[in-house]
Amino acid sequence: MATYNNKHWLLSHIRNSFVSTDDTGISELVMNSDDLAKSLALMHSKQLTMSPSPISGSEGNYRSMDENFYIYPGLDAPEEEDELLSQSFDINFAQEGPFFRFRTNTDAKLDKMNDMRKKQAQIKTIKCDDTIVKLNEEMDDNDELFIRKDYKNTSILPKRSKFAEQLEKMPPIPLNKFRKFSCFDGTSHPPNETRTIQVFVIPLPKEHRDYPIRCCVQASAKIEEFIGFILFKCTQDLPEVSQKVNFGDVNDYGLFISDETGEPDLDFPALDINEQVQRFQFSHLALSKRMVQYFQNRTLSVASDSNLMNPVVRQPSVDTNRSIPSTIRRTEEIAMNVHDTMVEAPIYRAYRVFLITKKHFRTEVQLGISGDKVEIDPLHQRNANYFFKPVKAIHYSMDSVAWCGISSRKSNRFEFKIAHNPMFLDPLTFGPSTSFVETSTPSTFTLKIHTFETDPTIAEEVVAKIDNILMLRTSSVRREYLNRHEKTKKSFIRKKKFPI
Amino acid sequence: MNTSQMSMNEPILATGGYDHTIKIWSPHSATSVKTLQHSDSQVNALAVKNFLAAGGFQSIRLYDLNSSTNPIINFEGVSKNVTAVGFQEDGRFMYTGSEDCRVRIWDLNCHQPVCKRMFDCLTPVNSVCLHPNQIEVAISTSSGSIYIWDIKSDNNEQLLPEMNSSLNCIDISSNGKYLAAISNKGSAYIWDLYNEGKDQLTKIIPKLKFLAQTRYGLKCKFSPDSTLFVTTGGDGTARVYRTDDDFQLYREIKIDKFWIWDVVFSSDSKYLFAASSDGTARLWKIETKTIEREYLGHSKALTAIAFRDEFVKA
Repeated sequence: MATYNNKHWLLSHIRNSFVSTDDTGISELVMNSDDLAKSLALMHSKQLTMSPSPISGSEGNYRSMDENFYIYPGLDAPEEEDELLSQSFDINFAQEGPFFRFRTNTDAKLDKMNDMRKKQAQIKTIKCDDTIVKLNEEMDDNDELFIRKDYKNTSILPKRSKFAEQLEKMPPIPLNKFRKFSCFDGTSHPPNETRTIQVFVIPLPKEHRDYPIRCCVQASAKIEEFIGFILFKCTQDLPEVSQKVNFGDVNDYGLFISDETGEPDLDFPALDINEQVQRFQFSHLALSKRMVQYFQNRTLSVASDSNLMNPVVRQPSVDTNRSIPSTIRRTEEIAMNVHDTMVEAPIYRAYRVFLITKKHFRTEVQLGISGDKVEIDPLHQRNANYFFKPVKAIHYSMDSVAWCGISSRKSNRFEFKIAHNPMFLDPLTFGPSTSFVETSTPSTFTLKIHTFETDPTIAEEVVAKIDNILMLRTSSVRREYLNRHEKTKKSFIRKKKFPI
Repeated sequence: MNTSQMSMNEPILATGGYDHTIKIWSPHSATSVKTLQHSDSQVNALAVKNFLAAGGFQSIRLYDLNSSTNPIINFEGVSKNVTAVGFQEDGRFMYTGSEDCRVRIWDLNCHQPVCKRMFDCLTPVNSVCLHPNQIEVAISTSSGSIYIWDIKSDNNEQLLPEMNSSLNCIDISSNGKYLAAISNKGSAYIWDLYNEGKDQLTKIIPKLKFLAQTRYGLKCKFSPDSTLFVTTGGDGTARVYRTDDDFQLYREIKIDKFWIWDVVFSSDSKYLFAASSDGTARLWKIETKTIEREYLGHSKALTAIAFRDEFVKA
């Protein structure tokens, strides 16, 4: 049992007390190198081994001091074990951080009261006592205070209103379309709960995008209203920039979790627009267009920053809208649109189209196209049991697709075809990409064609989308198809030129 | 523009209402410069000179626009709503009117402002305005009576133009020719002002009574050049009349669904700032009846507005 006359225990106790109570951690840093208790114990054990008998002289003093010195078991153990043993299980630090301590409610309340007291001290309070006023009235004659002004005879100097001048100079400001969200401003609600969040607004130009906008919003506002408020704040604080950046509609935007550098974490979905702000405790968020638009914007901005995308950007013009002729602007827009569709191509989209089976029968299906897959899922198969075999869901890898194109153009219905190689070995599943294809010799290059019918716009969109994906992915099936296509084309031309 | 950029030489627009804050705006750019805290009470009345004065429930507060967002002086001792505040032309004294039936004159020249004069009415005070001679005060009350009170000599005169109605606002034209008041029933009263001698109380002679607002009448103001007279009300309109044309209707400004609680003219009398219950203040060009600016940021109804212009030599 430890006693107060045991130096080792006392030293350890003092050391541990310093370490555990000092939130800054400086004590631990300072005392890390010299553990007095431990060095004392080591010296003691050394002396015991070297000279078992009592020694007089210079070392005798030290020896004489250590009459009551008892080492705790395990101190002579190796350092790794020692480190383990030295940690007391009774002392637990908070998990969040080594030197972080949660403040109690009382602390926070006391701080608030202190602030209030300081504020009150700055405010001068004057009490109005009616009896004193009566006395004042009787005593004072107030000749200096109350002077009658001869307002009729005062000559009015010609003056110009500064406000009128400023108003003239200022260009007319269009009415802010996000103005209905202005009421969610948190700064105007001292009694209500508010949240202050640093928001990075991605659609802004680079110099503004890198710095967050400090938004103080009412805690009871919904995320949708918060988004509106952020856009309102942007248009209000940066009127010139926001005129160039067309913000569009509130529904186009999502609030994403972001780190302190402003990079949105796209692994998480955007915050639910119907939730209240007070449910979230984020210090930083990023306002961005919803997924599809985000990728588009990001790629566009990268392209325009490095001047790779568009030759027009290279022109040293400050105001692009004014200096660029309309024709160039048109070509720029077209180029941008083409670029947009290319960038968007690998992103999953589903279309409702009709799958044509056996040349005649049309079955409504959902055609899902992403960068990796083509999915054909049937919808509403009425009477399937009676006349037709029900169409099964067909999924195949994009790498098995060889070709896609519009096959017939009727007035309001277009037919398009997707050709894929059913024998293509999917590298992920190591099997044929479709489940129902019968076995055939793997060396043969067979193509299975699915025919769809839909609106002209959707047909063109699907064909463009698949073409763009095929351009990006150079699969073996596609290469094979192109080779064969080239050969047949050549032979056809040769036959035409040199008929035998 | 932020607080550091705000100087005393800039025009200022102040708005206040039910959300317990007062916002200071840069009037030409419609940006909020500062938000002042008006805790525990709505804002009933605002006035701006060297300081900003705000009247609320049991409180009169003075704010220094260049210091913190909290008031610098808090006047205590008023038991009810303070409904009117205003400054003497040079900011030497401040006058306030409240529902405890009293009009008080506060000396601001001293280190510690004191109440120098007090005037007792029989009923709660709704509105107070200072005569251009800077020595007489016109008071309208909730019982429909009007008082003219000489602060220096303490002489006063009472008038009861209409029974069973409340006179919500009173104003005197800057040329000292007209006195006007509006009742809660929407009637506007115009009096001619006539001064017999230097130390005599101004006489008021009834001139005109007309239905200015179809519903609840709230405010009436003369323009700085005394050529226009505006009334506002619960029907969402602000009606501008010409004083030189026997108070014929000149322009009508209208917003839907909401009340226009308070108005103030720009110093060139061409524009009108209007505070309405949708929490928005607007700048209207009177001639074209168009909205030039919108001051957005309040979350509740606006009930008070004040404007201070600066002048440059022509």
